[in-house]
Amino acid sequence: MAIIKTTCVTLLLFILSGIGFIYSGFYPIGADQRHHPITLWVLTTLREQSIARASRDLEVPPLDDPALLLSGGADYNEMCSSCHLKPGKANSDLSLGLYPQPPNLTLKPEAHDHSHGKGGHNDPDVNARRQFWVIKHGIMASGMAAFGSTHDDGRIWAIVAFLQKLPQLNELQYQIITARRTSNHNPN
Amino acid sequence: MNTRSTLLLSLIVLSTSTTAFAHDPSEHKNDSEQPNCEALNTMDHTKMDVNDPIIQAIMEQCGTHHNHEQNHQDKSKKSAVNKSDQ
Ligand code: HEC
Repeated sequence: MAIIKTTCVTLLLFILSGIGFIYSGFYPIGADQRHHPITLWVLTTLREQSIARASRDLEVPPLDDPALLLSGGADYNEMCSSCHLKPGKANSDLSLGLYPQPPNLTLKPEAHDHSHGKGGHNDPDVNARRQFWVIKHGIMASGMAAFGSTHDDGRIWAIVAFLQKLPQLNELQYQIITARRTSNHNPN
Repeated sequence: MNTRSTLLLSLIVLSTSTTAFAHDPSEHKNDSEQPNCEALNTMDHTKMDVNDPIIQAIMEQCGTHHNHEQNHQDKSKKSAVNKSDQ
C-alpha cells in the first residue's frame, strides 16, 4: 500500500514540477538554441517513424517525364528554394536561421546531414514517398509547411520528380528548367 | 522518473506544440523569369544525353527541337542537343 502511495505522490510531484517548469519560462525557446542530444533523438526518431509509417502505402507514379520536371521545377524555385537552396546558393537567411534546419535539397540525400533513419536513402521509391508525404503534410513545429491544402497531388508529385534530379543540376540547367514562362513557348 | 525525464517531457511537449512558421508571401510572387537559353551554347554538349529527362526538359524549355532548321545566326552555336535530336 505504502509503495503505491509513494509512487503516486512522486508521480504527482513529477507532473507538477513539469508544469512548473513550463510556466517558469526557463525553457530556452530561441531557434538559435540547440536541442539536447536526447531531445534531438526523440524528435528525429518521432519524425522519421511517423513519416515512414504514414507514407508506406503511397504509390509512386513514374517520375521521369520532362513535363513533370518543368512544372515541379518552377514550383520549387518559387516556393522552396528560399529554404532548401538551389545550385550556386549554399545558404540563405532561412536555411541558416531555422531550427530544425531545412536540409539542402541540392545535395544528394546521403550527403546532407539530416538523419532519415534506416532505409530511406537507398531505395528511391521510399525516398520519393517520404518526400511526397512531407511536402503534402508538412512537418509540425518546423519551418516545413503542408502544401497539400493548396496544391493537388499531381503537382506535388511533379515537385518530387524535380527533387530527384535537383542534385544533378548545375546553375544553368536549374535556371532554365525552373524559369516559369508566362506565355506558352513553341509557336510552331 | 527523475528531473531529467521531467525536463525531457516538458521539452517534447513544448517543442511539439509551438506554432508552425508562416510562409513569407513574397516567396510566392511570380517573377515570370525567362529561361537563359542563350547560355546553353557555352555548355559542353558532348556531355548531353538526349534520353536524360533533364536534357529533354531543357530542350523543351528552349525549344531546341525546332532549332536545327531555323537556327540562330551563329553556326558555331549548333549543338549536340540539336544534332542528336534529328
Ligand atoms: C520556410 C522554410 C521552408 C520552405 C519554404 C519549405 N521547406 Fe521543406 N523543410 C523545411 C524544414 C525546416 C524542414 C526540416 C523539418 C525537420 O527536420 O523536422 C523541411 C523538410 C523538407 C523535406 C524533408 C527532407 C528530408 O529529406 O528529410 C522535404 C522533402 C521538403 N522540406 C520539401 C520542400 C518543398 C518541396 C518545398 C516547397 C514546396 C519546401 N520544402 C518548402 C523548411 C521549409
